[in-house]
Amino acid sequence: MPTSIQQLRTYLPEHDLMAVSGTPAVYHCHHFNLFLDQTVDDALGEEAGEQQRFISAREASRTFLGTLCTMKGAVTPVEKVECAAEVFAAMGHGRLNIAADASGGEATGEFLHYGFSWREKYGQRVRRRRPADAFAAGYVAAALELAYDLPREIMGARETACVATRQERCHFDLRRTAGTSTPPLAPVREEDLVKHLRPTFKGRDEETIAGVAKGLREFTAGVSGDARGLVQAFGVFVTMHLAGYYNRLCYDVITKYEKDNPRSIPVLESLLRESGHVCVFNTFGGILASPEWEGMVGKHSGDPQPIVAGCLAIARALGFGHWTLHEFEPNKRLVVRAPATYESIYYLARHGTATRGNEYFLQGASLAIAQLAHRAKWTERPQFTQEFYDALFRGGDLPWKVEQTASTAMGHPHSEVVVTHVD
Amino acid sequence: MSTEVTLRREQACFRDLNWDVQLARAPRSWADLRSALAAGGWSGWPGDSPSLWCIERPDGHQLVVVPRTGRIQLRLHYTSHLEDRAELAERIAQQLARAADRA
Repeated sequence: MPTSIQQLRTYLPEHDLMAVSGTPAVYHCHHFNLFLDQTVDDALGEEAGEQQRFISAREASRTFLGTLCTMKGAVTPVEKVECAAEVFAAMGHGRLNIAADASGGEATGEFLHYGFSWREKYGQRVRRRRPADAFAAGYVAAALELAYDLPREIMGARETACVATRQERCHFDLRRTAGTSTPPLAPVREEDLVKHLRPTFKGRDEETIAGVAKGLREFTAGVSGDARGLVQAFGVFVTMHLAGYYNRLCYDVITKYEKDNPRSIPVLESLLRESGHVCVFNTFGGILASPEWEGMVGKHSGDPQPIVAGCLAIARALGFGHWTLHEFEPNKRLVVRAPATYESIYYLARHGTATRGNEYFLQGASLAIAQLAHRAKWTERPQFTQEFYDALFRGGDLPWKVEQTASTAMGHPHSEVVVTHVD
Repeated sequence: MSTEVTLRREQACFRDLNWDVQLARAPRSWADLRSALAAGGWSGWPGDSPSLWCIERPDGHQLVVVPRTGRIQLRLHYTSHLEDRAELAERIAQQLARAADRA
């Protein structure tokens, strides 16, 4: 029987932080997923990037699957592996067929989110040399570790064929390794995050934003992978994804750069912020332009404020945190505050207090919200094409700039980003 | 006089699956249009409500309709062959237009 994700999904009250079977989770689209993975590969090199993505996936998945299998009553190794594969598809990551045991084996993938969406987006124009599904590799490795009660970080996985490299299907070799001498990091679960939460608060237009967020959450509760194991909605491929994967990727790369390449950190940070542009443009834009939105909220007036409020509601519904509207002066200034974001709360739990504002997704997304609110012609139902993205975000200096002025990761009572128009 | 219909490919990351359908004339009765579509095999799926129709045919093609604003989006099933999608969208749009005429 297919697993209903609705049964596994929870939100921390008043914080709009999502979890799936007790593991922090968010919704992200394939544009963001591919962009972030590419950023990691560009930063570390293809081989090291792939390894980083694999270990981040394995860690986040192991934490997730441990609780999941307990909740679903999966006891035997076969039950646990089947449970893992079933939920992987329900979350929109594609179909896995795992034929392996405690020593390893193989797995095949059909319509895996990363490989399939990469091929759909770029495959006609670009020839890819390396496989794309490190997340699936890490997930399968974690599933086997859990199923056979193996030590963490002992199962290796390598994708040996991928649809993104124009092969017919994805294939993984799995092999038990000697493990590492470094003890694994303590998992970051929802309960580890809760103790870092600050009191929540309301912002402007709170009733409207909360009402729309509630409506969107009700809509997404019914969303689950189709027969392919993909979620096709709002013009994008959506995944319910593990926040720990994104966060480990992002902050591990930053940490490596702080140690080995500190002069390049500003460039890296700008790319991580750009992931926020990519998400807001494609996913938020797709939602705002959808008939579902029109049915729920009505036609767009052309006024930027409802777009800003709508975007903050979308952020809450996608599990990014309780983003609030603190200030808005059209064409001049936008201030977004949150008592916590999925980034800040992870950083506090895993790394302790930050020394600078490092919620890159919040920064980039807030800037992109200002762009969308002011530069898209909403009464003409804009089409969110690559050309439009390039015109908004890559046509030279942006007309808006963003600064993070407070962060709960730094110990402040709230996170705050200020977006101002460049005169 | 039959209702003219205009089709426009919607931007999405799924090639030629989503189409905007514009009827030259709104149906006299949206309720009657709904009944006509039901008679033609269209039925509701989760999310279907009076303010947002989410209906589909047995072959999986879907319509999302906002009666209040007249917006109609056709969503072809992903199993439809790429080379057939434009023609398929045209056929379904014409079916919709004929149902609107009868409404």
